[in-house]
Amino acid sequence: MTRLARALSGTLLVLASWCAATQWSVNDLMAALAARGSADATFTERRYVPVLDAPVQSSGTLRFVAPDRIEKHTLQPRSESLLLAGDQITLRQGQRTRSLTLTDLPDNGLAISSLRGTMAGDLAALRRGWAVALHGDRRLWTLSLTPASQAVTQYIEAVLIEGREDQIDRIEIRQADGVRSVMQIMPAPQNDKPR
Amino acid sequence: MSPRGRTTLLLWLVLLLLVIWQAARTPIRTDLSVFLPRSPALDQQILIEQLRVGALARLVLVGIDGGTAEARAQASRDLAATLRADTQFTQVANGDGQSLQADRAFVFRQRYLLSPTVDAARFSVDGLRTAIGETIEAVAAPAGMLAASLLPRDPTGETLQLIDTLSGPVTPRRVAGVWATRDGERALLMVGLRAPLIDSDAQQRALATLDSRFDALNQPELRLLKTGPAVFAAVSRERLITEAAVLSALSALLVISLLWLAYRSVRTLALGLVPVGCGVLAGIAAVGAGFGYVHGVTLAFGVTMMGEAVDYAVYLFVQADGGRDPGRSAHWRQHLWPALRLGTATSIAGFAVLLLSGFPGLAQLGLFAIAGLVAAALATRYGLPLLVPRDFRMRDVSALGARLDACQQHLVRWRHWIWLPCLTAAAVIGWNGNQIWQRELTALSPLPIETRQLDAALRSDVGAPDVRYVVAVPARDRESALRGAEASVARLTPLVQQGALSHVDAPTRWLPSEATQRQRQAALPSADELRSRLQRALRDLPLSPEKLQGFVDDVERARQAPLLTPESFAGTSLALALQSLLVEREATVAGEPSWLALLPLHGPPSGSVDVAVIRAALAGAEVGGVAPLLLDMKAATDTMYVDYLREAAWLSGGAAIAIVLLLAVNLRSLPRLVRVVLPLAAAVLCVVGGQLLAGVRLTLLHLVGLLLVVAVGSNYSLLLDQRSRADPGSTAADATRMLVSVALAATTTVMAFGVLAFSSVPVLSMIGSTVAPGVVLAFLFSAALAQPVHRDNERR
Repeated sequence: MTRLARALSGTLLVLASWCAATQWSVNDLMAALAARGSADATFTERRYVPVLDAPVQSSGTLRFVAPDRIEKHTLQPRSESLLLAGDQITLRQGQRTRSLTLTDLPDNGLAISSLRGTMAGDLAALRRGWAVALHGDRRLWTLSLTPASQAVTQYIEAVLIEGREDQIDRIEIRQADGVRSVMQIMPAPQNDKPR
Repeated sequence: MSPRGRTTLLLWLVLLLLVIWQAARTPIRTDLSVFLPRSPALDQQILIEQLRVGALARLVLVGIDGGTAEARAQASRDLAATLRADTQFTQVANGDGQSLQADRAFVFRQRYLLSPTVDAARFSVDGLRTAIGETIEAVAAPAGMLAASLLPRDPTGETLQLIDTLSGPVTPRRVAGVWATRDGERALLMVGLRAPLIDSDAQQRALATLDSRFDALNQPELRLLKTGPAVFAAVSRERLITEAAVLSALSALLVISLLWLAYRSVRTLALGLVPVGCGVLAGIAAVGAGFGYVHGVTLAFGVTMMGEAVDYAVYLFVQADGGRDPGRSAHWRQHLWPALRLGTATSIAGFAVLLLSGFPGLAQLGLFAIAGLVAAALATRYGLPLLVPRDFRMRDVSALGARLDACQQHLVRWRHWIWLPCLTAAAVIGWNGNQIWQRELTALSPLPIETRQLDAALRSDVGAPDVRYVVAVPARDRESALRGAEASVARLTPLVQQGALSHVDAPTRWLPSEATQRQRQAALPSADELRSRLQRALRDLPLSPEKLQGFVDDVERARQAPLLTPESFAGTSLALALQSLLVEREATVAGEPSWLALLPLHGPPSGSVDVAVIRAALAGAEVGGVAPLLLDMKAATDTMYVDYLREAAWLSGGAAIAIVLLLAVNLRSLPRLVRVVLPLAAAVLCVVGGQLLAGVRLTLLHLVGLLLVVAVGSNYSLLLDQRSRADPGSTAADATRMLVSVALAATTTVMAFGVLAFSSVPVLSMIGSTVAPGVVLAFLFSAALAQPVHRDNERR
């Protein structure tokens, strides 16, 4: 990029954020989410698989520890957990533990890191893998993520995140093969933090 | 020049040309294999084959350092792409999506032949219900999206559990899409070379290609690191050759300066090197003719052993004034040449014993030394005098001689104290008892410690630890080897479950025996049958059989698919694993097992492998009458070296006896025998004692060095003994010159080997630190014990 182009794009960025300041922007949303920091929640998840007559349900707890740690403990139907820290994933199922990295996953771990990027309010991280678009307003917003790279498109169609203010309510992951996951998120009562 | 002289010269020239021709066509090899025994037990044979041609010996681990993670990953991908297109490399794995996808696609395609859970029960109505039910449950798991995607075509979940075992117990972590070290600061690649370790030149070419391809990426902030047997061979060779070259040049400079002081003539100096040159060429030619090649280490040692030949010319020039003066020349031939001849014969007797060695490396060294010394002695006796110019005059050395004479008088007066250092040394040796010998081969390794550390680090990062225990299943054909491996795996699996082992690698994980593959195919129901079973199995599950047409098709395809062979793995990174675990042995004797399945055992995370438990588990696991062998790679290597050492020690003892017998027969006088042998024995004793005091444990090379001390030292003691004998026609000046020549010879030898002692390559420093002090002591003891020359007696 030439120096001129860089200066221009810098100017554009400033202008854009000045315009955006008047309405609910991605930056505002991210700033609000980032301000929350660590959070605990419970979730129920339904996975829709085209060949299955009914969705597969699960529920459990979700915990985000700023800046980059996600813990998903599934309690029903089986106790299992997934820990994501940095780019390391640890899967626990009974006595068995498996370690892998994000890139071991077919989609390069993009789906799970989109969840983390959103909870952390880390726009830069999100934009590394996704085209980010925001709809709605502060009271009810939808963040839609579409894969930035062709390679990921063959696995994931989109991730849709809905929420109110600084609260995430629903995350929907749509895979290219028609498998869909819808996760409802409820903030955990403050006095009943899962440990 | 007399006609006879001309004939001699002509004959010499013809011989020399023949020798040069033979030496020039003798290839130099540098691999470890000549230092391995010739006809070992089967387990050692297998180990040696692995070292020589095994896939593990062809594996190079590559690291890329520096720059950003993205730059390293890009370089890893670019390098892998260019190497994959090059036939010098069989396999390039860097964990990138391409190879990962190829592996996953392969496993998915072949799941019904590969999966150990495929049997008739699993495809019964109940089995299907359970398996499909579990897979549906797995969709709910945190990582269930993958299970969900696989559900339509793989409802029994074979792929997922295969992928689980795909990578073995340790997988390198992936950073920016490619393998990296645990700290993420270094990208990793595994590269398989086509050339085996014994073809070191081809391996070096492949490594050079690797370097140049990396340089061509033009990423100056990135750095390439390599490790593996091929790299070790290259590093050892380079270090040995460069150090040997630098140090030889240095010692040559010192020796030449000293000789210059003595001769003050360029021509004499040049002539003095003629016997050495003849000796080295003859040594190479003889070894080439006898073995077909010469090993680099043989060459390096052989050349140092030719240091004795430098002395020959010194004796001729100093004692006989170049052999030009007819009277003095005749005297030299009659009185001194026999002593020198006996000295040479003594050396040859010492080295001849090495010929009996079962290790080609030692035998080569013996042959080299013998051929070289014979050639050098003949050149000195018959050739060199013809080349000495008519006006040759040795410098007047009488002043130096007088001083040396006086020194010897002092030494003689102290001669009764010789028992003191000898007894001290003997006490030190006795005190050290069993600790005298270094029993681990790594002590000889010329590799710098950083190289070994880098290797260990990269190995643990890629999950290819230096495996110590391997179960080897020898068999007459591939199928039997695979069946044997399956039988052994079945015996070892309970140990993994109990925690006695953490993991067992096996070729059958990827290539099951044909019998097993057929069995799995037979367990798969036909399309119609499967459809009807699914009807019943899915009654209570949220899945209708019509939606599983992909599954039915895939099962039907698997039933009729051709069985897997090693060729099926082309293009996947599994090929490399398979190649290293399923080996077709080269050129085996008829009746010997020609295939080998290898099962590396990974010990439990804490503690070590209990050999007895594993032997017990494997007992009786025979297929086709061949039992699996438990190999301890480290013990086998060390045992081999200890065998080597033991043999060399026996041979040295034999050499000592041969030398004493030879001298006894020739000298025919007990007092003279004692005067000749005692200084040598005392020198050897003191050197060994000194090494032990310095905390050094003796290796094979010390032993070779001691042999050299005896060979060179015997010349000193013989000549000094000869000097003290009153023979007619010998003048006081002759006696003086004799002493000067021996002192000069000893000084040159000490200089040459003293320089080696400062080498950072253990092989060179061990030889240097043994020979240099040994030669000094042999000279001093010889001088002290020699009968003083008659006129000195009068003075006393």
